[in-house]
Amino acid sequence: MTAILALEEVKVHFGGVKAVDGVSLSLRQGALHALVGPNGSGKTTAVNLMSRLVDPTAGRVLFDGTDVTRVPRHRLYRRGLARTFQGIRLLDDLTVRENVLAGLDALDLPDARKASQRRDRADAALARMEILDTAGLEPSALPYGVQRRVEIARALAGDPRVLLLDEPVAGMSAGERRDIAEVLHRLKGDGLTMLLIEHDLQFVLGLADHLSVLNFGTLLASGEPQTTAALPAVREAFLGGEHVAA
Amino acid sequence: MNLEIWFGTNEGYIQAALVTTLLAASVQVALRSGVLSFAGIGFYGVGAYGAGYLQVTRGWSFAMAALTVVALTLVLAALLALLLARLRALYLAMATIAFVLLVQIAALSWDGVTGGAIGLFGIPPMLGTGGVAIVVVAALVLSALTQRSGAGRRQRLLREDEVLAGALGIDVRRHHRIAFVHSALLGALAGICQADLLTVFTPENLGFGVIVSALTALVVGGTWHWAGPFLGACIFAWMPVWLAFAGEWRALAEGGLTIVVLIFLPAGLAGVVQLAARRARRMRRPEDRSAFTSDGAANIPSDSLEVSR
Repeated sequence: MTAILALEEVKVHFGGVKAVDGVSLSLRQGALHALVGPNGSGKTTAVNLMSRLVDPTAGRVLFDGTDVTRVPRHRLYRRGLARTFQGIRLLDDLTVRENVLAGLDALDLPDARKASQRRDRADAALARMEILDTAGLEPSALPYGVQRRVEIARALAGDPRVLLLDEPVAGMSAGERRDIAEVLHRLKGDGLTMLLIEHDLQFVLGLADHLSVLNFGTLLASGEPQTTAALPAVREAFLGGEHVAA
Repeated sequence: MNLEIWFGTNEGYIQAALVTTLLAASVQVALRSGVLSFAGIGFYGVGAYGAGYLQVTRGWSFAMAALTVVALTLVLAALLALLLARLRALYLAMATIAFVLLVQIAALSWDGVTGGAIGLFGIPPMLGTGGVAIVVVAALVLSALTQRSGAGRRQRLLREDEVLAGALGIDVRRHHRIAFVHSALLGALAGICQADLLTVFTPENLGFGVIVSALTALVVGGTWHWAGPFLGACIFAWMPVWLAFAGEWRALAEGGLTIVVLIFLPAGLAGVVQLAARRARRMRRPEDRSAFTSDGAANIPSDSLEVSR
């Protein structure tokens, strides 16, 4: 399959700190690619690189075969690369629907030029997340897990080709995690290419088509999820040397 | 009281309120997009002196003079926006205050154009109070339409979360430049109107005091609401009348009142309306919350939640 998004030998160094150091990754079209690693392993820096929030010290970022290493982040979104953030980033004084509409405001979509068409599109994204009945509410009135789904709906409203999800289940209850897992499973079924950043290895094992593991800014392993997760180096990174030995 | 008599006795206050509305709106339009710029106050001077000079000294018609000043403002503001593109928040505010003071110095020194310390006299009144009111209404209508549209959402994103704005496809730098130029344009229009109403413009009409007046009117009226500049401008136009009983303590009373509003109504007077609307919205449809379980998960049938492993 074709790689729609790729990192080629990218490095991000902040002074002496090597947040990402020579990492190469490629996302296959239509697949759910999980990027896991312990805290501070460089996962968020990697997703920030892909969405052009940080500049690489070296290496290239390719989107749909084109070098986008120096393309401004707003242009990447318009080309079809959407993302969510680790923390909830919704505007509390707007309704849920208005927050989702914000994902459409910068796009020139032929089938969403009229206000009513944009509203329909925002509602369709909310319906896809099964939260259409919250459209008129303010995000602060909603549970954390639903706010997260509003964010995903906003990212999906523009019909992106790739969705980057930065720890979408961080801080969630078991029920909320189950909901998000269901959402991701459904989006995968729709053929959406996704990169799921997560530090909980168990959460991604049932969802991902491909697993990459980062540790100390370098790529530890990459491949079929179950096989990769079983590698001693990966288990050591997650559980520590003593547990692996035991 | 007869409306005609009221208008006659209050026309000066009405004119002051109208011009201050435009000046406060010039600060607001930039601030709404997260740009703390007072350059509009500098362009207030450019607008007043430019339109006045072209009419008085060059004999141009009002329309030609006004259009030329507007075009000049757009070009100068675009260049200034590029020059100051790297500055943010307080640094940009300081740079634009310096620009206002430079315009004031130019007004004092450039005798041939500005009339120096004496000022520019004999500017023909063409718009009058009615004409200026039309300009103000147009500016406020545009502001209200913007606030309620996708452009308003964009401004809110730019103001509250630039990173998110960029991640949602908004060209942050471009929109900051647009806000800067829009602010300058409103300032220049205020200047054109002020020169038309007063028929005279001197360096004393410019400077730091104008920045304080515009900012105070905006904050008291409502920083984010389209009606804020108008409400604040009206309050400060008529406040000397309302507080006349305070005599020499009037300035102190004005300051005190401003502080009280800032403490108890931080979103300004217009913000009270917005807050009430938000509360009404929050009260609406409480039954929607029953769609979620106590741990925040969606209350949807469990058989649809099976995740294949």
